[in-house]
Amino acid sequence: MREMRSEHDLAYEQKVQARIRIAYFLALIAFSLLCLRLWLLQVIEGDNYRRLSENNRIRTQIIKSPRGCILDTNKKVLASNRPSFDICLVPQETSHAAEVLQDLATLVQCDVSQLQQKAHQARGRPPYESVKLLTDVSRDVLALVLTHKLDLPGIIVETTPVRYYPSASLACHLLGHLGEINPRQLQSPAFAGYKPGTFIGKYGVEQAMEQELKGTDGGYQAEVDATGYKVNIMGRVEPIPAYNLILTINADLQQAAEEALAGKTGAIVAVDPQSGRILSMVSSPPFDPNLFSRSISAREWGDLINNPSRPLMNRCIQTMQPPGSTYKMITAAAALSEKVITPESSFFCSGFLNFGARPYRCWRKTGHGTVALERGIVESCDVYFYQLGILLGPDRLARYAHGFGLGDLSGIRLSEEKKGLIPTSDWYQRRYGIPWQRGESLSIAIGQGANLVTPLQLVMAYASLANGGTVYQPLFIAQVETADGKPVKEFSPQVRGSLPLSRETITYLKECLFKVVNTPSGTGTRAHITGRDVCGKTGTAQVINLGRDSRSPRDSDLQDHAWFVAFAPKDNARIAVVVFIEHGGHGGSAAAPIAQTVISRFFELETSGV
Amino acid sequence: MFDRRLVTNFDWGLLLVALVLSGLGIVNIYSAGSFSLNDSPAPFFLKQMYWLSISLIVLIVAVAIDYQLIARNCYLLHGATVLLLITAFFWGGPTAGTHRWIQIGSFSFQPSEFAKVSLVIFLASSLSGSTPATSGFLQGLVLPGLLTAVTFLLVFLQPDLGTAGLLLIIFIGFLFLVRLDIKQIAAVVVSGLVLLPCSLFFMEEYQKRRIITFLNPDKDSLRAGYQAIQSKIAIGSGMLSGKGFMSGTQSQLRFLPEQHTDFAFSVWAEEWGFVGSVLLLLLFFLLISKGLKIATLARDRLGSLMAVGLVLVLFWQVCINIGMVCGLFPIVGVPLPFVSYGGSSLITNWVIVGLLLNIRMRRLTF
Repeated sequence: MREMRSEHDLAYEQKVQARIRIAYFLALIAFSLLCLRLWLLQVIEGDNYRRLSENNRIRTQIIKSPRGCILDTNKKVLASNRPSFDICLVPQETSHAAEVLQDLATLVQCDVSQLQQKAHQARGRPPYESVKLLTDVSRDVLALVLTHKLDLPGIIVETTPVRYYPSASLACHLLGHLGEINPRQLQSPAFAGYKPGTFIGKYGVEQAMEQELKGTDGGYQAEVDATGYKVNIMGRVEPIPAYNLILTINADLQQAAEEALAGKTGAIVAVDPQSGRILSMVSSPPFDPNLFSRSISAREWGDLINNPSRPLMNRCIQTMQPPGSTYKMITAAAALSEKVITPESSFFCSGFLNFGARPYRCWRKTGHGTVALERGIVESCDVYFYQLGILLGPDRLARYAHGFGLGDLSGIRLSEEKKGLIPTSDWYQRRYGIPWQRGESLSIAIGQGANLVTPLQLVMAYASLANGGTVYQPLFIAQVETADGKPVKEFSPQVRGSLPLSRETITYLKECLFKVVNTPSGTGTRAHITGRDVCGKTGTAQVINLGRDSRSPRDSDLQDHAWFVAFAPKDNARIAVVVFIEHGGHGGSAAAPIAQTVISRFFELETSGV
Repeated sequence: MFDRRLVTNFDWGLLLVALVLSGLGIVNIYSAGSFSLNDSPAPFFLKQMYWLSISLIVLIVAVAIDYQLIARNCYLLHGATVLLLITAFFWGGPTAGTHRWIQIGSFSFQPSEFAKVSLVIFLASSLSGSTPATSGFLQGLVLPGLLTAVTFLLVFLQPDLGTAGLLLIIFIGFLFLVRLDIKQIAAVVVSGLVLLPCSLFFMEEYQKRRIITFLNPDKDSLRAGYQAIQSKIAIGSGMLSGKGFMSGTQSQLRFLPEQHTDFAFSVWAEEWGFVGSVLLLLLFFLLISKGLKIATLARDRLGSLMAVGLVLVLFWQVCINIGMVCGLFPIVGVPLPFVSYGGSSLITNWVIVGLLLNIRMRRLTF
């Protein structure tokens, strides 16, 4: 057979041999390429893949540090945390996730597409990490899911702490609320270390005391296998529990004040005149801060934002209104200190005062007759104070107003606070481009015109008169303590300054304010409490004069704002209160009774030792 | 009638390389399977050792019978394999939706593994009988092509895309080696390249998806993606010198899928690094170059073609497997010769070694 091979055959044989050599070189090239690939993966990109394998194997688990509690002065809980039960999916633990989602949707009667959307977002996460499908479910839904757990492979229940305000809207404006951290905050250095999705204080004490309340999350690193099972714990950092805050607020007094103001739009602030500590701070209408502890729904948010009564506004520090006749105390103080009058100086009130081209009216159309200072205050004679306004002029009056803390931030640790406005001739020139109009001096002397104050400023002004002349910074926080009750920081009263008044003037003014409440002709008699020596001043701020509303006036819009500022007792006062009611009518009839209720309750609580 | 030349021409080097590879494979399976599975009483590495001892007995048979005798019975041999492939569709029932296994008692095997070798023997003997000039078109191309097609189809329908593709590549390799000129090969390649996208063009999207699902029932695309990523992480994280024996986190913590079978190389590369990977590649290259050397030394064209075909089986399996675990190819189920766990595969590879030794030691006997 061998010898029969043709030449052609031999040539063919050579061709096969040549192709075997080609195959050899092709194999060499193929193996070289594989080596190159391995070089690329293991040497060039080796570090990167080593890191990825570590990421695979080491799972960092956050140990949540619950937010600190907020307590009232008697350690009654105003804000704490409650567990939120979240229904989660671990996609790798089921082979037919779509059916499980469908079953779950049928079980809890929700939209399956919503669940699918949530589950879809989980793509690209480390395996065996859970995805939240339904957050903060009710106990009924929780029970339903748990009883059907065996039919729902891959569905687990996770528990996370959520902010909880047990008394719902109690002191809601002071406490504030939470909200999810926004992208801008995430980038700011003030929020270094915060993670997306964290709920932070957005308003009120929650925002002001974020640093103390937030705590520091701990965590541990666990080596896990491919099923997410923890093989061993590699390192652990304990969470640092947040601090608890003890406020100066008395929840019982707060409750009474809120009830007294229920259904009205307005504000009440009660303070301790001897320290500036806030005893209660009420703004009405209230809102439920619990709504913000999870992602608030668009509908709930819309309801709050579009409500014409603006429930999210803290009227104690954010509404700026003319103080009305409550300002007469300041005008009187300025006039006495500047010695433009003596207490005995009297003017005649015929029911109006002609000044310039027009008459300036007194609230009592028939007039007060001949009036000295004391009766001017007690019966709130407008004409008397018009005269003082003419004598003082705006700049001297403004100096005293600032001395009482009006027109300046009070220094309360709430970022929402508004400053108010005390007009001066300079301000007028800047604002209107013309010199001060002398008629304005009459208006501002009775707390109208351009004067704007917040309820907090007004109560602090009266509190400084009540305590004999010390202007305190309002304080809402008494103490910061650790979770197990060890004090971390005490907040002592901060003095801002003292009134630019003589002792005699202060005593005299207090006497006048006492008579406002305690003489039959006084405007504030409805705040009288037997044996408690309540002192106060009514105010009725005219709305129509503001002239900023061109809508067809409705009744409630035309009603005056009612004010009443009081303190008690006359000597060594222990409480000062301001009541402000938007479109409430007369201060004496609308606001004074509410102040009386709050002050009575304060003394009741004091006697019962709570 | 023992011939001394049989001993002097015995390729001890080839045997040694194959033994070293099998040994490393068992070491690797020991590491990959160090966790115990409840349903398998004997750990994988022990089972693989049994398979190796069976393989060595099979090796003796494969060496002892003259390859010419084997080739003369190639129709019988390949016919039997085809019968087994058909049997697999009816016997034993589908495992995970496939018909790859034939089960006899507690023993099961994959006939497609044997099909690789029997097809090579068949192609070598049918293509070596005569030259292209003398043999007809029918006998020279159509008949081998038809039989390859039948085998291919049977494996393809199991479905085992990897092995089916391998059979096709081997057939093309043979064409390249003996039959066709460069022009003809180019024509085949070009027409293939043109036809493939055309057929895809005429298919609806859901049909394509169905075909993919049909071919890969146990691997949805997401899962295959996960496997590919985990495999790359395992290999890459081995870096230059590896994490050390039994210290590969990707494998020990079971992030790697099918780590003792298809992804055995990833386990090896993670624990022994670039150095170990290249060493393994070198051993394979040594095996292949020795096989090709045998092809050039063979006493006749049959031996030469058979040797090349057998080497191709090993070569393509190594390339596809390592290429796939490195992320160069899509994930298809092709094991790494000698290293991956599996009895049918190991025995088949040792049959290949046996036949190569067979051809080598009979180079001077007539």
